[in-house]
Amino acid sequence: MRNLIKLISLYNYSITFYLLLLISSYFLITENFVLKTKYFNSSNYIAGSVFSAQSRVSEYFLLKKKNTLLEAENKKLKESLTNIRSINNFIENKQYNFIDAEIINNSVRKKNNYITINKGTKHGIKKGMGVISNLGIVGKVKYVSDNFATIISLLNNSYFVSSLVKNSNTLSSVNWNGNDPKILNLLYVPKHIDIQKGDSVITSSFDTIFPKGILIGEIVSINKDTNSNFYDIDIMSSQNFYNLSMVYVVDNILYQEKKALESDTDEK
Amino acid sequence: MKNNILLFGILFLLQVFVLNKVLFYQYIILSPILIILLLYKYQKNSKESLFFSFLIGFLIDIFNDSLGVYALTCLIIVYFRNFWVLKIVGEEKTEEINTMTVHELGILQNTLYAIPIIVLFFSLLSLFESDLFFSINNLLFIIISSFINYIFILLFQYLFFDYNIRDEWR
Repeated sequence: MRNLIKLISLYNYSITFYLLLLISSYFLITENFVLKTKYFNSSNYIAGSVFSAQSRVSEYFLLKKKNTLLEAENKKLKESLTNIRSINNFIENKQYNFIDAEIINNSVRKKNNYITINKGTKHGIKKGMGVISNLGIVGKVKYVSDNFATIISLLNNSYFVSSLVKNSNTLSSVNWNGNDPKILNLLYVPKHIDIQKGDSVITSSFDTIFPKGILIGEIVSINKDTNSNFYDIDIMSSQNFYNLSMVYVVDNILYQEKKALESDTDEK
Repeated sequence: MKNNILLFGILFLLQVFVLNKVLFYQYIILSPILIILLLYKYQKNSKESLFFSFLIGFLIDIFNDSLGVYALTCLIIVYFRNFWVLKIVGEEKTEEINTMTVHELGILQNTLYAIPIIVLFFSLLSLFESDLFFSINNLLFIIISSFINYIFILLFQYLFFDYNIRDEWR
Protein backbone atom coordinates (compact mmCIF):
# COMPACT_ATOMS: atom_id res chain seq x y z
CA MET A 1 0.00 0.00 0.00
CA ARG A 2 2.80 2.35 0.98
CA ASN A 3 4.57 1.57 -2.30
CA LEU A 4 1.38 2.30 -4.21
CA ILE A 5 0.99 5.70 -2.52
CA LYS A 6 4.67 6.39 -3.20
CA LEU A 7 4.21 5.46 -6.84
CA ILE A 8 1.12 7.66 -7.17
CA SER A 9 2.81 10.62 -5.54
CA LEU A 10 5.84 10.11 -7.78
CA TYR A 11 3.81 10.11 -10.96
CA ASN A 12 0.88 12.27 -9.88
CA TYR A 13 1.55 14.81 -12.65
CA SER A 14 1.32 12.17 -15.37
CA ILE A 15 -1.60 10.45 -13.66
CA THR A 16 -3.48 13.78 -13.52
CA PHE A 17 -2.74 14.38 -17.18
CA TYR A 18 -3.94 10.95 -18.31
CA LEU A 19 -7.02 11.20 -16.11
CA LEU A 20 -8.01 14.58 -17.58
CA LEU A 21 -7.11 13.29 -21.05
CA LEU A 22 -9.47 10.38 -20.53
CA ILE A 23 -12.31 12.65 -19.34
CA SER A 24 -11.96 15.14 -22.19
CA SER A 25 -11.58 12.36 -24.78
CA TYR A 26 -14.75 10.78 -23.44
CA PHE A 27 -16.56 14.13 -23.79
CA LEU A 28 -15.31 14.40 -27.36
CA ILE A 29 -16.16 10.96 -28.66
CA THR A 30 -19.17 10.02 -26.60
CA GLU A 31 -22.51 9.50 -28.26
CA ASN A 32 -24.09 9.13 -24.83
CA PHE A 33 -27.46 10.76 -25.33
CA VAL A 34 -28.13 11.53 -21.65
CA LEU A 35 -24.72 13.17 -21.19
CA LYS A 36 -25.07 15.18 -24.41
CA THR A 37 -28.59 16.30 -23.54
CA LYS A 38 -27.49 17.34 -20.06
CA TYR A 39 -24.44 19.11 -21.45
CA PHE A 40 -26.36 20.99 -24.13
CA ASN A 41 -29.13 21.91 -21.72
CA SER A 42 -26.68 23.20 -19.12
CA SER A 43 -24.57 25.00 -21.68
CA ASN A 44 -27.79 26.41 -23.16
CA TYR A 45 -28.66 27.73 -19.73
CA ILE A 46 -25.24 29.28 -19.02
CA ALA A 47 -24.22 30.40 -22.50
CA GLY A 48 -27.80 31.23 -23.51
CA SER A 49 -28.24 33.71 -20.68
CA VAL A 50 -24.91 35.40 -21.42
CA PHE A 51 -25.43 35.41 -25.18
CA SER A 52 -28.92 36.90 -24.69
CA ALA A 53 -27.39 39.85 -22.89
CA GLN A 54 -24.73 40.20 -25.56
CA SER A 55 -27.36 39.89 -28.27
CA ARG A 56 -29.43 42.71 -26.76
CA VAL A 57 -26.46 45.06 -27.08
CA SER A 58 -25.35 44.00 -30.55
CA GLU A 59 -28.95 43.94 -31.77
CA TYR A 60 -29.19 47.68 -31.27
CA PHE A 61 -26.37 48.28 -33.75
CA LEU A 62 -27.90 45.92 -36.31
CA LEU A 63 -31.35 47.48 -36.31
CA LYS A 64 -30.96 49.19 -39.68
CA LYS A 65 -29.75 46.03 -41.40
CA LYS A 66 -32.49 43.99 -39.77
CA ASN A 67 -35.09 46.50 -40.89
CA THR A 68 -33.98 46.16 -44.50
CA LEU A 69 -34.13 42.37 -44.24
CA LEU A 70 -37.59 42.48 -42.70
CA GLU A 71 -38.83 44.82 -45.44
CA ALA A 72 -37.58 42.39 -48.08
CA GLU A 73 -39.16 39.48 -46.23
CA ASN A 74 -42.42 41.35 -45.85
CA LYS A 75 -42.53 42.00 -49.59
CA LYS A 76 -41.86 38.36 -50.33
CA LEU A 77 -44.54 37.23 -47.89
CA LYS A 78 -47.10 39.58 -49.41
CA GLU A 79 -46.37 38.12 -52.83
CA SER A 80 -46.73 34.58 -51.48
CA LEU A 81 -49.96 35.48 -49.76
CA THR A 82 -51.41 36.79 -52.99
CA ASN A 83 -50.64 33.47 -54.65
CA ILE A 84 -51.92 31.46 -51.75
CA ARG A 85 -55.23 33.33 -51.57
CA SER A 86 -56.10 31.97 -54.96
CA ILE A 87 -56.12 28.49 -53.46
CA ASN A 88 -59.52 28.41 -51.79
CA ASN A 89 -58.92 25.56 -49.42
CA PHE A 90 -55.73 26.91 -47.95
CA ILE A 91 -57.19 27.84 -44.58
CA GLU A 92 -58.92 24.50 -44.10
CA ASN A 93 -55.73 22.65 -44.89
CA LYS A 94 -53.45 24.78 -42.79
CA GLN A 95 -50.71 22.42 -41.68
CA TYR A 96 -47.89 24.54 -40.30
CA ASN A 97 -47.47 27.12 -37.55
CA PHE A 98 -44.38 29.29 -37.37
CA ILE A 99 -42.73 30.42 -34.14
CA ASP A 100 -40.33 33.31 -34.62
CA ALA A 101 -37.06 33.23 -32.70
CA GLU A 102 -33.85 35.12 -32.49
CA ILE A 103 -30.41 33.61 -32.90
CA ILE A 104 -28.18 34.20 -29.92
CA ASN A 105 -25.26 31.96 -30.82
CA ASN A 106 -24.09 30.58 -34.14
CA SER A 107 -20.99 28.95 -35.57
CA VAL A 108 -19.93 28.16 -39.14
CA ARG A 109 -16.34 27.00 -38.92
CA LYS A 110 -16.70 23.64 -37.19
CA LYS A 111 -17.62 20.35 -38.86
CA ASN A 112 -20.63 20.04 -36.58
CA ASN A 113 -22.13 23.47 -36.18
CA TYR A 114 -24.96 24.33 -33.83
CA ILE A 115 -27.14 27.41 -33.42
CA THR A 116 -28.77 28.57 -30.20
CA ILE A 117 -32.11 30.42 -30.27
CA ASN A 118 -33.89 32.37 -27.55
CA LYS A 119 -37.07 30.24 -27.47
CA GLY A 120 -37.63 26.95 -25.67
CA THR A 121 -40.32 24.59 -24.41
CA LYS A 122 -42.11 27.53 -22.76
CA HIS A 123 -42.74 28.95 -26.23
CA GLY A 124 -43.86 25.69 -27.79
CA ILE A 125 -40.58 24.54 -29.26
CA LYS A 126 -40.16 20.77 -29.39
CA LYS A 127 -37.30 18.51 -30.33
CA GLY A 128 -37.18 17.65 -34.03
CA MET A 129 -38.96 20.76 -35.35
CA GLY A 130 -37.60 22.33 -38.53
CA VAL A 131 -36.07 25.81 -38.59
CA ILE A 132 -36.17 28.16 -41.58
CA SER A 133 -35.48 31.80 -42.35
CA ASN A 134 -36.62 34.07 -45.14
CA LEU A 135 -33.71 32.80 -47.30
CA GLY A 136 -34.25 29.08 -46.88
CA ILE A 137 -33.79 26.26 -44.44
CA VAL A 138 -31.55 26.59 -41.39
CA GLY A 139 -31.69 23.27 -39.52
CA LYS A 140 -33.58 21.17 -37.02
CA VAL A 141 -34.16 21.53 -33.27
CA LYS A 142 -31.79 19.18 -31.44
CA TYR A 143 -32.09 19.98 -27.73
CA VAL A 144 -34.61 22.17 -25.89
CA SER A 145 -34.50 23.75 -22.44
CA ASP A 146 -37.17 25.99 -20.91
CA ASN A 147 -36.03 29.21 -22.56
CA PHE A 148 -33.54 28.14 -25.22
CA ALA A 149 -33.11 25.59 -27.96
CA THR A 150 -30.08 24.26 -29.81
CA ILE A 151 -30.47 23.85 -33.55
CA ILE A 152 -28.47 21.31 -35.50
CA SER A 153 -27.38 23.56 -38.35
CA LEU A 154 -27.51 22.62 -42.03
CA LEU A 155 -23.74 23.14 -41.71
CA ASN A 156 -23.41 19.95 -39.74
CA ASN A 157 -21.78 16.82 -41.15
CA SER A 158 -24.30 14.50 -39.59
CA TYR A 159 -27.42 16.28 -40.82
CA PHE A 160 -29.22 15.22 -44.02
CA VAL A 161 -32.25 17.03 -45.46
CA SER A 162 -34.74 15.37 -47.74
CA SER A 163 -34.87 17.42 -50.94
CA LEU A 164 -36.21 17.66 -54.47
CA VAL A 165 -34.60 19.00 -57.61
CA LYS A 166 -37.33 21.42 -58.62
CA ASN A 167 -37.31 21.00 -62.40
CA SER A 168 -37.29 17.21 -62.47
CA ASN A 169 -38.93 16.54 -59.09
CA THR A 170 -36.09 14.12 -58.27
CA LEU A 171 -35.94 13.00 -54.67
CA SER A 172 -32.51 13.52 -53.13
CA SER A 173 -30.68 14.44 -49.94
CA VAL A 174 -28.65 17.49 -49.01
CA ASN A 175 -25.65 17.31 -46.70
CA TRP A 176 -22.67 19.57 -45.89
CA ASN A 177 -19.17 18.12 -46.35
CA GLY A 178 -17.51 20.35 -43.76
CA ASN A 179 -15.51 22.60 -46.09
CA ASP A 180 -17.04 25.75 -47.56
CA PRO A 181 -20.08 27.02 -45.58
CA LYS A 182 -21.67 28.26 -48.82
CA ILE A 183 -21.45 24.94 -50.67
CA LEU A 184 -23.62 21.88 -49.92
CA ASN A 185 -23.65 18.42 -51.50
CA LEU A 186 -26.68 17.06 -53.28
CA LEU A 187 -26.74 13.29 -52.89
CA TYR A 188 -28.46 10.31 -54.51
CA VAL A 189 -29.44 11.90 -57.83
CA PRO A 190 -29.23 9.01 -60.37
CA LYS A 191 -27.14 9.59 -63.49
CA HIS A 192 -30.03 8.96 -65.90
CA ILE A 193 -31.88 12.05 -64.62
CA ASP A 194 -31.40 15.18 -66.67
CA ILE A 195 -30.29 18.02 -64.43
CA GLN A 196 -28.74 21.36 -65.22
CA LYS A 197 -26.59 23.94 -63.47
CA GLY A 198 -28.85 26.59 -62.01
CA ASP A 199 -31.66 24.15 -61.10
CA SER A 200 -33.21 24.95 -57.74
CA VAL A 201 -33.17 22.45 -54.90
CA ILE A 202 -36.11 22.61 -52.50
CA THR A 203 -37.39 20.72 -49.46
CA SER A 204 -39.47 17.64 -50.19
CA SER A 205 -41.65 17.59 -47.04
CA PHE A 206 -41.10 13.79 -46.86
CA ASP A 207 -39.32 14.21 -43.54
CA THR A 208 -42.48 15.90 -42.18
CA ILE A 209 -40.57 18.74 -40.58
CA PHE A 210 -40.37 21.25 -43.42
CA PRO A 211 -43.17 22.40 -45.72
CA LYS A 212 -42.63 21.41 -49.34
CA GLY A 213 -40.89 23.96 -51.55
CA ILE A 214 -38.61 25.80 -49.12
CA LEU A 215 -35.48 26.77 -51.03
CA ILE A 216 -32.23 25.03 -50.07
CA GLY A 217 -29.96 26.19 -52.88
CA GLU A 218 -29.04 26.18 -56.53
CA ILE A 219 -26.92 23.64 -58.42
CA VAL A 220 -23.48 25.07 -59.24
CA SER A 221 -21.49 22.04 -60.36
CA ILE A 222 -22.31 18.56 -61.65
CA ASN A 223 -19.72 15.79 -61.83
CA LYS A 224 -20.73 12.71 -63.81
CA ASP A 225 -17.33 11.00 -63.63
CA THR A 226 -17.94 9.04 -60.48
CA ASN A 227 -17.75 5.29 -59.86
CA SER A 228 -21.26 5.18 -58.44
CA ASN A 229 -24.67 5.40 -60.11
CA PHE A 230 -25.18 8.89 -58.75
CA TYR A 231 -23.95 12.34 -59.72
CA ASP A 232 -21.55 14.27 -57.55
CA ILE A 233 -23.37 17.60 -57.26
CA ASP A 234 -22.51 20.83 -55.44
CA ILE A 235 -25.19 23.38 -54.63
CA MET A 236 -24.81 26.98 -53.53
CA SER A 237 -26.73 27.37 -50.29
CA SER A 238 -29.50 29.97 -50.44
CA GLN A 239 -28.94 30.58 -46.74
CA ASN A 240 -26.27 32.99 -45.55
CA PHE A 241 -25.18 31.47 -42.25
CA TYR A 242 -22.73 34.29 -41.55
CA ASN A 243 -25.39 36.88 -40.77
CA LEU A 244 -28.39 34.88 -39.62
CA SER A 245 -30.36 36.74 -36.97
CA MET A 246 -34.08 35.84 -37.18
CA VAL A 247 -35.49 32.39 -37.80
CA TYR A 248 -38.87 30.64 -37.77
CA VAL A 249 -39.39 27.31 -36.07
CA VAL A 250 -41.81 25.18 -38.06
CA ASP A 251 -44.51 23.43 -36.08
CA ASN A 252 -46.18 20.78 -38.23
CA ILE A 253 -49.65 20.31 -36.72
CA LEU A 254 -50.13 16.99 -38.48
CA TYR A 255 -46.71 15.59 -37.54
CA GLN A 256 -47.93 13.15 -34.87
CA GLU A 257 -50.84 11.96 -37.02
CA LYS A 258 -48.58 11.25 -40.00
CA LYS A 259 -45.90 9.53 -37.89
CA ALA A 260 -48.49 7.36 -36.09
CA LEU A 261 -50.04 6.29 -39.40
CA GLU A 262 -46.63 5.50 -40.91
CA SER A 263 -45.53 3.47 -37.90
CA ASP A 264 -48.83 1.54 -37.96
CA THR A 265 -48.22 0.80 -41.62
CA ASP A 266 -44.66 -0.36 -40.91
CA GLU A 267 -45.84 -2.73 -38.18
CA LYS A 268 -48.36 -4.35 -40.51
CA MET B 1 -2.20 39.54 -9.66
CA LYS B 2 -5.02 41.96 -10.54
CA ASN B 3 -3.50 42.52 -13.97
CA ASN B 4 -3.22 38.79 -14.39
CA ILE B 5 -6.92 38.16 -13.74
CA LEU B 6 -7.99 41.18 -15.80
CA LEU B 7 -5.90 40.01 -18.75
CA PHE B 8 -7.28 36.50 -18.48
CA GLY B 9 -10.85 37.86 -18.35
CA ILE B 10 -10.38 40.11 -21.38
CA LEU B 11 -8.71 37.40 -23.47
CA PHE B 12 -11.34 34.84 -22.52
CA LEU B 13 -14.24 37.18 -23.38
CA LEU B 14 -12.55 38.16 -26.63
CA GLN B 15 -12.15 34.49 -27.54
CA VAL B 16 -15.69 33.44 -26.62
CA PHE B 17 -17.78 36.38 -27.81
CA VAL B 18 -15.88 37.74 -30.76
CA LEU B 19 -13.10 35.68 -32.28
CA ASN B 20 -14.71 32.24 -31.96
CA LYS B 21 -17.40 33.45 -34.35
CA VAL B 22 -15.10 34.89 -36.97
CA LEU B 23 -13.33 33.03 -39.73
CA PHE B 24 -11.14 35.47 -41.63
CA TYR B 25 -10.71 34.71 -45.34
CA GLN B 26 -11.91 31.13 -44.71
CA TYR B 27 -8.54 30.02 -43.28
CA ILE B 28 -7.75 32.21 -40.29
CA ILE B 29 -9.01 32.13 -36.74
CA LEU B 30 -7.48 34.15 -33.96
CA SER B 31 -7.18 32.41 -30.60
CA PRO B 32 -6.17 34.82 -27.85
CA ILE B 33 -6.48 31.98 -25.36
CA LEU B 34 -3.13 30.80 -26.76
CA ILE B 35 -1.55 33.85 -25.15
CA ILE B 36 -2.51 32.56 -21.72
CA LEU B 37 -1.44 29.00 -22.48
CA LEU B 38 1.91 30.15 -23.88
CA LEU B 39 2.95 32.91 -21.55
CA TYR B 40 2.10 31.97 -17.99
CA LYS B 41 4.87 30.95 -15.63
CA TYR B 42 6.30 27.45 -15.86
CA GLN B 43 6.23 25.35 -12.72
CA LYS B 44 7.73 21.89 -12.74
CA ASN B 45 5.16 19.07 -12.72
CA SER B 46 2.37 21.47 -11.85
CA LYS B 47 -0.96 19.65 -11.65
CA GLU B 48 -2.63 23.04 -11.26
CA SER B 49 -1.54 24.01 -14.79
CA LEU B 50 -3.21 20.87 -16.16
CA PHE B 51 -6.45 21.53 -14.27
CA PHE B 52 -6.31 25.19 -15.30
CA SER B 53 -5.94 24.36 -19.00
CA PHE B 54 -8.69 21.74 -18.83
CA LEU B 55 -10.99 24.26 -17.14
CA ILE B 56 -10.27 27.04 -19.68
CA GLY B 57 -10.93 24.61 -22.52
CA PHE B 58 -14.11 23.35 -20.90
CA LEU B 59 -15.38 26.93 -20.40
CA ILE B 60 -14.74 27.72 -24.06
CA ASP B 61 -16.53 24.48 -25.01
CA ILE B 62 -19.60 25.61 -23.05
CA PHE B 63 -19.86 28.78 -25.10
CA ASN B 64 -18.87 27.05 -28.31
CA ASP B 65 -21.18 24.00 -28.22
CA SER B 66 -18.11 21.83 -28.82
CA LEU B 67 -18.14 19.36 -25.95
CA GLY B 68 -14.52 18.26 -25.30
CA VAL B 69 -12.76 19.85 -28.29
CA TYR B 70 -11.11 22.79 -26.50
CA ALA B 71 -10.78 20.93 -23.18
CA LEU B 72 -8.71 18.21 -24.84
CA THR B 73 -6.76 20.63 -27.03
CA CYS B 74 -5.80 22.98 -24.17
CA LEU B 75 -4.83 20.05 -21.94
CA ILE B 76 -2.51 18.52 -24.55
CA ILE B 77 -1.05 21.94 -25.37
CA VAL B 78 -0.13 22.64 -21.75
CA TYR B 79 1.34 19.17 -21.27
CA PHE B 80 3.40 19.60 -24.43
CA ARG B 81 4.35 23.16 -23.44
CA ASN B 82 5.69 22.02 -20.08
CA PHE B 83 7.84 19.47 -21.87
CA TRP B 84 8.87 21.71 -24.78
CA VAL B 85 9.92 24.70 -22.69
CA LEU B 86 12.53 22.55 -20.92
CA LYS B 87 13.93 21.41 -24.26
CA ILE B 88 14.17 24.94 -25.63
CA VAL B 89 15.08 27.02 -22.62
CA GLY B 90 16.55 24.46 -20.21
CA GLU B 91 15.40 23.68 -16.67
CA GLU B 92 17.63 26.14 -14.86
CA LYS B 93 16.71 29.19 -16.90
CA THR B 94 13.03 28.18 -17.06
CA GLU B 95 12.66 28.32 -13.31
CA GLU B 96 14.12 31.85 -13.22
CA ILE B 97 11.70 33.14 -15.84
CA ASN B 98 8.31 34.46 -14.73
CA THR B 99 6.49 34.77 -18.03
CA MET B 100 7.50 33.15 -21.28
CA THR B 101 7.50 36.45 -23.17
CA VAL B 102 9.72 37.59 -25.98
CA HIS B 103 11.27 40.10 -23.54
CA GLU B 104 12.48 37.30 -21.30
CA LEU B 105 13.37 34.67 -23.89
CA GLY B 106 14.60 36.75 -26.80
CA ILE B 107 13.14 36.59 -30.29
CA LEU B 108 14.92 33.41 -31.43
CA GLN B 109 14.12 31.32 -28.38
CA ASN B 110 10.59 32.71 -28.29
CA THR B 111 10.03 31.68 -31.90
CA LEU B 112 11.43 28.20 -31.31
CA TYR B 113 9.28 27.88 -28.21
CA ALA B 114 6.01 29.29 -29.53
CA ILE B 115 5.70 28.13 -33.14
CA PRO B 116 5.51 24.33 -32.52
CA ILE B 117 2.97 24.90 -29.75
CA ILE B 118 0.81 27.12 -31.95
CA VAL B 119 1.03 24.67 -34.88
CA LEU B 120 0.10 21.80 -32.56
CA PHE B 121 -2.85 23.81 -31.21
CA PHE B 122 -4.35 24.38 -34.67
CA SER B 123 -3.52 20.84 -35.82
CA LEU B 124 -5.42 19.43 -32.83
CA LEU B 125 -8.35 21.79 -33.38
CA SER B 126 -8.45 20.80 -37.00
CA LEU B 127 -8.17 17.10 -36.16
CA PHE B 128 -11.02 17.20 -33.63
CA GLU B 129 -13.30 19.52 -35.59
CA SER B 130 -12.85 18.34 -39.15
CA ASP B 131 -13.66 15.05 -40.83
CA LEU B 132 -11.03 15.37 -43.52
CA PHE B 133 -7.85 16.08 -41.58
CA PHE B 134 -5.52 15.32 -44.47
CA SER B 135 -6.80 17.89 -46.91
CA ILE B 136 -5.25 20.95 -48.50
CA ASN B 137 -7.86 23.17 -46.87
CA ASN B 138 -6.94 21.89 -43.42
CA LEU B 139 -3.24 22.22 -44.10
CA LEU B 140 -3.72 25.80 -45.26
CA PHE B 141 -5.85 26.50 -42.20
CA ILE B 142 -3.14 25.18 -39.86
CA ILE B 143 -0.27 27.01 -41.57
CA ILE B 144 -1.99 30.36 -42.09
CA SER B 145 -3.73 30.45 -38.72
CA SER B 146 -0.50 29.47 -36.92
CA PHE B 147 1.49 32.16 -38.68
CA ILE B 148 -1.09 34.92 -38.09
CA ASN B 149 -1.54 33.91 -34.46
CA TYR B 150 2.21 33.97 -33.87
CA ILE B 151 2.37 37.52 -35.24
CA PHE B 152 -0.69 38.44 -33.14
CA ILE B 153 0.88 37.01 -29.97
CA LEU B 154 4.19 38.73 -30.70
CA LEU B 155 2.45 42.08 -31.23
CA PHE B 156 0.41 41.56 -28.09
CA GLN B 157 3.58 41.03 -26.08
CA TYR B 158 5.26 44.14 -27.47
CA LEU B 159 2.13 46.23 -26.89
CA PHE B 160 0.97 45.03 -23.47
CA PHE B 161 3.90 43.31 -21.81
CA ASP B 162 6.14 46.25 -21.11
CA TYR B 163 8.47 46.02 -18.15
CA ASN B 164 6.00 47.58 -15.68
CA ILE B 165 3.35 44.98 -16.37
CA ARG B 166 5.94 42.25 -16.17
CA ASP B 167 6.93 43.40 -12.71
CA GLU B 168 3.34 43.34 -11.54
CA TRP B 169 2.76 39.97 -13.19
CA ARG B 170 5.40 38.64 -10.75
